[in-house]
Amino acid sequence: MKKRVLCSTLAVGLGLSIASTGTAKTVTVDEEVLKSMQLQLAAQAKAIADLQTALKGQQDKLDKVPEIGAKEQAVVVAKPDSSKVQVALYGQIDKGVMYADDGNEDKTFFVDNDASSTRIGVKGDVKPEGRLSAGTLMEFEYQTNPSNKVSMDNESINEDLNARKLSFYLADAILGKLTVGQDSAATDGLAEIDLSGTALAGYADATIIGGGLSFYDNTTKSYSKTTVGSAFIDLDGGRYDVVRYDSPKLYGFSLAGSVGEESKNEIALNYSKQFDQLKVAGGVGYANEGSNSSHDDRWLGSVSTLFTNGLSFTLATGTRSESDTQRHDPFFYYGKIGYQFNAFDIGKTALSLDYGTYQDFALNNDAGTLFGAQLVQDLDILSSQLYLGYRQLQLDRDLADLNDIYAITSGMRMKF
Amino acid sequence: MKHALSLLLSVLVAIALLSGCASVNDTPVAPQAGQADTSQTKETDHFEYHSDTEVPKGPGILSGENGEFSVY
Repeated sequence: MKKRVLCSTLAVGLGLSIASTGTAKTVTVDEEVLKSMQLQLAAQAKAIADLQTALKGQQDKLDKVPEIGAKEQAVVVAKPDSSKVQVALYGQIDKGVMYADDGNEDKTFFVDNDASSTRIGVKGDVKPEGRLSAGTLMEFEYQTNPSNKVSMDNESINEDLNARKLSFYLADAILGKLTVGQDSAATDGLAEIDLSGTALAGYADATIIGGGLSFYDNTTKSYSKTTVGSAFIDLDGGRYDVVRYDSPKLYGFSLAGSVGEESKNEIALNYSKQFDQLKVAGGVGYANEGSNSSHDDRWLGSVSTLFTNGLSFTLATGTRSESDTQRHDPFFYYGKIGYQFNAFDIGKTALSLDYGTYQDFALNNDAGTLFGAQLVQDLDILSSQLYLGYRQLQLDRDLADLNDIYAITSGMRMKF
Repeated sequence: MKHALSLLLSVLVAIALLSGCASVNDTPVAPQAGQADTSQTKETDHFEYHSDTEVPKGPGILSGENGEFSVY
């Protein structure tokens, strides 16, 4: 046991001795190596710093790539967003048959119904964020045998493609809408506001059906120079190159004003509102006829109501002051009573009767009277309307005996 | 004749004044305790007149429900 302890003690002592000798040598080596290592470390630190610098440079380059991408993305956003831009093609075909009898002759015409003519259009709308919007409109009319122009002498008329609207608009939800180009002047449609649902077969403008037909004079046994189109006018506004402003709607009212070619100026107050039991639409307006007209001023208006039970009432009136002091100022009154209902699955049915008086339009003391009846049947499955209209036009004139003109028109309008 | 236009304008103004009493576009008022909440039964006035002589709104026979051919 003592031997084991002794040997262990010697071994530990020898080991410590060897160890202490080795340690002394190591300390000596470390001082030399340490300087060398310090130099190496300094060199490595410099190399690392250089690498870091280089890496940072590369990283910066890499960081710049997304920035460029963001700019490109911003450019893309600035371009028209397809979800906010809409360009659409639309149109309709409206063809029918018109039978007319002027008391001397009768004829059947195959016509394009001028009440709502065959037409096609392309419209574009842009609605960026906020209140602003803008758009363009190109609408053309292409009629063969227009119902307002065919006559006993000419039943085949091939019209050119006529531009109805070529305009653009800028709109602000609060400030209103500005339209520039060929488009409706402020009083366009103002004498023809009609909620009866039967306007396709007849409304205040009696010239749309048989407007080219002349009255036959029994006194002279010849046709007079007076046509329906010159004696039964509703004084409605038209379409021409304008700058038009429309105010936002306030309590149902909106104001429209336009200035246009040939110094024409027009202003209109429009109203439309839906109540619990009825819808109301109406408007009144004034127009200065411009520099190239034989007329000075024009006043017109109409109002129409449609009750929830289907009854509708429409009134229209207008007058015009003539530049020629020898001419009486022509005027008209027009009224329509209608009823619409849904008796059939195919679509709404609308019926109406109308009456109008048109004074002094072609000649002084001319008294024109209009009687009419209309039927329009919607065909929902065909996106179409079938219509049937009857018109009797009487014109009383001093020293003349003009025959009445009768016209029956039937046809279909199909929206494509 | 001007009287007829004045009458027409008067009709419009009268309708507008009446609408002030029976407007369907009034701001809904919270019902008092015990009162029925009828605000949901009022229609919102989105009525805009669209002439029957213009191309009608709604579906087209070829363009379908949209009523227009979307070019873009």
